[in-house]
Amino acid sequence: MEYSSNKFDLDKLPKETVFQVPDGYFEDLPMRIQARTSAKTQTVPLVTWSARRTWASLAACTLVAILGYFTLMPRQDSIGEESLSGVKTEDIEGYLVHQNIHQADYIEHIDETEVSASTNIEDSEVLDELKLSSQDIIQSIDTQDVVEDI
Amino acid sequence: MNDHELIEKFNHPDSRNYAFNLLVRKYQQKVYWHIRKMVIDHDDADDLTQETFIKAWRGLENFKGESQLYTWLYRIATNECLNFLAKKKRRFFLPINDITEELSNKIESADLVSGEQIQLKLQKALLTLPDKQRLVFNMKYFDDMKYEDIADITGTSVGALKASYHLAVKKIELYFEEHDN
Repeated sequence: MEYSSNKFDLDKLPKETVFQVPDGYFEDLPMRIQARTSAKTQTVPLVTWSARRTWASLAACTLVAILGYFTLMPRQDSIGEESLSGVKTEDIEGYLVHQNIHQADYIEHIDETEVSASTNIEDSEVLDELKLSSQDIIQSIDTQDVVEDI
Repeated sequence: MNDHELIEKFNHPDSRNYAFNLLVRKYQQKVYWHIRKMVIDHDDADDLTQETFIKAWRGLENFKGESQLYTWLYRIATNECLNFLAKKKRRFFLPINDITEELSNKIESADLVSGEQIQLKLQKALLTLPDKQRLVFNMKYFDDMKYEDIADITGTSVGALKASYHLAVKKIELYFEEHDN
């Protein structure tokens, strides 16, 4: 087909495509596209932000914190008494010596009524228990103090 | 099956895959050739055609039927082409002439290109046009589309499209005069 440049007319040019595709391309294309679309639809659902869920989480955290506070605080007070009952007297004494607290110091803090109530023992019984001779007692009494008391 | 029935079937979960398969089979050649004329290379055209239909799959649920299905598909394909060409220019920091040269070389060297010398010359002449003007020319000249439909696809007025096509024809005629051998 001859075309003179001077008389070039686009409308007279046959509308043919110069491009080609591999054999069977349009037979396979729908399957390849479908494979991609089905792969995309099987995606894991996204967890999106929700104002209601955020507020619910905050409320739950606050409730746990309040319950934790009222549950744990009383337990901390009772821990001392409960655990001390399980500790041996020798260990407590050892601890007090280690802390530089002498026997005289803590005896001063003991409430006498508390001791007598808890032991429920008469003075005479105490003396019997101690197995002290009357001579030992007389030696230990400051006679001057006795005279003053009389 | 007409487009309205295709969309109805697509909107039904049980027949969605079947309807989409029919849609691809119905429009794959139009979409592919529209893209191929713009990007020249078969592999690029293949990627963009698949991408066009995947976007159609995602968006078809929201398709309101305000435009024809085929112009809607052409619009997606057109955007894919223009974005691809713009990215290509940005990625390699190439001026427009070098991209034209690259595409022109593909026309000469590619395995999947053949035809009379005059047709190859026309394709090279088209590469000298701006991308949007080339799009308009392809749709009017090769696909014989109405200006109203092209306006729907490109979002340009009919008057502007007529002017653009007229200008494209003049540039092509000039190219043929300058490259007369």
